[in-house]
Amino acid sequence: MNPIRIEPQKALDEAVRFNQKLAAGLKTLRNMDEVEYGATAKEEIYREDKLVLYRFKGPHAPTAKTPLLIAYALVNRPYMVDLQDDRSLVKNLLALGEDVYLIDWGYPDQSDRYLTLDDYINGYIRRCVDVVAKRHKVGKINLLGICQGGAFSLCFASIYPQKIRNLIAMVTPVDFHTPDNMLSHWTRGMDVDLFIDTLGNVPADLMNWCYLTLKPVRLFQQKYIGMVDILDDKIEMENFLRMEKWIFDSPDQAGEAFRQFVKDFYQGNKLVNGGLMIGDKSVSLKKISMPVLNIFAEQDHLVPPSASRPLQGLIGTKDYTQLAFKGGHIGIYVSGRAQREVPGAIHEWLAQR
Amino acid sequence: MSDTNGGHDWSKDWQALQSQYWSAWTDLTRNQAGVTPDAATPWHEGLEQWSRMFGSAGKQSDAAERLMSSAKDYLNLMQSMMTFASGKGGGPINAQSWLETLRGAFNMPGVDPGLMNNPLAKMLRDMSGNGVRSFEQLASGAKPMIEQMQQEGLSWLRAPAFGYAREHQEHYQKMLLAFADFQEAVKQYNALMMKASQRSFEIAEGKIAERSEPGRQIDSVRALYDLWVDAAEEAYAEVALSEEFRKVYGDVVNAQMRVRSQMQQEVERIGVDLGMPTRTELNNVHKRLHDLRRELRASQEAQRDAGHDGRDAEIAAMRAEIDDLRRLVSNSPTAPVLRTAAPPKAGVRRKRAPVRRKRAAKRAHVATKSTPIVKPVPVAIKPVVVRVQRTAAAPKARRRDARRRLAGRAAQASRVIPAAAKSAATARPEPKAASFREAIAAMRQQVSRQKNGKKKVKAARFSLPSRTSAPNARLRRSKS
Repeated sequence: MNPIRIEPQKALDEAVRFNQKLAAGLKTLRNMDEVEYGATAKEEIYREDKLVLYRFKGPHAPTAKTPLLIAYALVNRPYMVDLQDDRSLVKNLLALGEDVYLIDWGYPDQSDRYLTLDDYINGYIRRCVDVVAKRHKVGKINLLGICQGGAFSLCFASIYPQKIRNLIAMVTPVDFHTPDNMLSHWTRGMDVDLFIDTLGNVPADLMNWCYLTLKPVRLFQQKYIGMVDILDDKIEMENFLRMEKWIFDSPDQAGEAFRQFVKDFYQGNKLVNGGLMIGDKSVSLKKISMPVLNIFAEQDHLVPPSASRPLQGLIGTKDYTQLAFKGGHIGIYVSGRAQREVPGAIHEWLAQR
Repeated sequence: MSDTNGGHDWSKDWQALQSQYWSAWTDLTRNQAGVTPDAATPWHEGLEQWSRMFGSAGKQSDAAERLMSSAKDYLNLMQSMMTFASGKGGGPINAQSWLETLRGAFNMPGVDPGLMNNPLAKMLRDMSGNGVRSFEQLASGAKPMIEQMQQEGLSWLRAPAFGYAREHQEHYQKMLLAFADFQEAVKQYNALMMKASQRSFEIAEGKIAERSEPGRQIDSVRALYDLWVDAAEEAYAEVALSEEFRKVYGDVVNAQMRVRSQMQQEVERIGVDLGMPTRTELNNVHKRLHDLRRELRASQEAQRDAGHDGRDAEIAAMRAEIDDLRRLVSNSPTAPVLRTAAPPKAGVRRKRAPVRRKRAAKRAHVATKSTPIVKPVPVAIKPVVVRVQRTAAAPKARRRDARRRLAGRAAQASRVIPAAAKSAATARPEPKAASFREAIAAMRQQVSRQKNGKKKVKAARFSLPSRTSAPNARLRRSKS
């Protein structure tokens, strides 16, 4: 039997409908305002260079005794955790009584080219942790690291275990040399010294291009064909454009930090192999003695689950919990399922410790 | 609505629909722009016009541009199916024939042959953002020169330079060679993309064949498109995760960086000639500034830590505790030792031994108090004790010299030592209250014993019980 049974008339109807949607899109897009992001009120707590530390304000006073600091990746903007009112990890955590802080790394420029991982981890993160701990008069705080921020958090928790009460790693790469890690596969043939010596900072456009090429047809074409389906729906289009804005709102990467991250993490896989130094401090995951919650996404094409799972066997604590989320790297923050499952899981896990 | 009769003339319907479509578009957009459509590709012209309308929209133009590019390819697919169907007499489309036709890249109106031959390569080319595009433009500008050189052979680029402009010539040679290498690397990369494209058709064939069962057949262009996307991604992933791709990808990136680097050097050279600041100079300034800031921050933190790292607070807390203990002990009726630390009461005569103990305790206390940074140096204390024991039977002068030597050496090593040396000189097993913590622990023990009514405060003056007291006590107990 012929597997394709597309009746010509039906195909014509499809084409007409497609174009009608496009025509409707003219009106929708032209009448749309600039999309905004960030659903939750926040106050600035600390500022250093381009970094700003925020504390989110919930409708009620937090009930949690220990504050939670979110360390996001450098490669995208952190407002993904508070994208919009009905898609906000932060808002849901606040509703559950958590006291949430967030590090906004800002947009590095050429003057930040020489920022190293030492500056980011032993400098910025350490000082933010200290600021939060001091505000709350506690010796230890909870740390939630996301993606590259998760890798930073692992390093930090290893170097300063006395400052972290509970560690949560979300979509965090640990083993960078798993066979399905396309990004890592590609970077291993790169001369990263030549790359950084030439570019200085890594331009955001180049980073975005690299991410798109992980799934070129799906991310560059199919997604926009799908967008036609919602062109006549203003709310859906706003959601789409908000996400689109986040995806392409990428800061440049500080050159030296990028160089070290690629060399030590992507190429050297030192979180697994050992020998990782951040400044003059050595990192060993065995030194992570506090409780750890590892959340990863089963359909993550940027950080495959196989890259996150090995954390269990590498850390020093026996209090390890793992949560496999049914979704992708971005869906873990913004999908409806994520709103239902992720904040509750984090809160419950913290409450038990 | 649907008419699937084999005799129906689909070509006429198709033409009619295109005209209808174009009329609708021109009606809709006639106030926006007056562009004459290309009769062969009316769908494209509609999209182009749509794009033009958003050209100046700014905020949404990125999304519109991406949509344009994708929608155009999707409409190409639709149109290809229609054209194919119209040529086949209007019946349902045969998957195999359609794929063969696509693979052969027949002359389809409006379809970029590159898309049909190598859709992935085309897609990757279209994906280039502004940052990448600028380089592509630059590279394409040099392409004619490179091609000419390639025709002549690149060997002359490797020939040694000489004469007054030797360095410049060398630089240009390097730059042109880098361009040539980059082009070669891109060629290798495109070859792999071609491989992925071809493989995508193979996978698509397999996926389409799986849908032959009734109920699983593909009945819309969109479903067919989605299936092709799955196949293309699968094929791409196969290639992209191969060792060959890793090398080729690395070569492309590295070759591009070498070209950029050579060009930057050339721009810098021109900048210097024109008296303009260069990237290298700015980098040096940034580097120095960064290093200075790091040093400053480290210095500030060290200063702050010296005062606020908790040592001051700890010392204050310990002092307070000592005061409490002193008060507690001084109020106790059986507190001969610690009472010595309290201010002497007027008119009260004391025995000599408690006074000596008091002085020794005070010396140890002052020593530890006055040297908060220097940790107790057991290594330094130990030789002192040993020396004193060794010289116990020596002549007086020798003992005096030894004491002087030790005192001098200890004073150099640490401020803890002189006190320790002096107390050791009493030839008494003095307690080693080398820190506040130990002093407090000793005091706690002391108070505890007093509370328990123990009389042996002499032996347990500051620290642990003597080595003989415990076995003797056991012996006594066993005898009794």
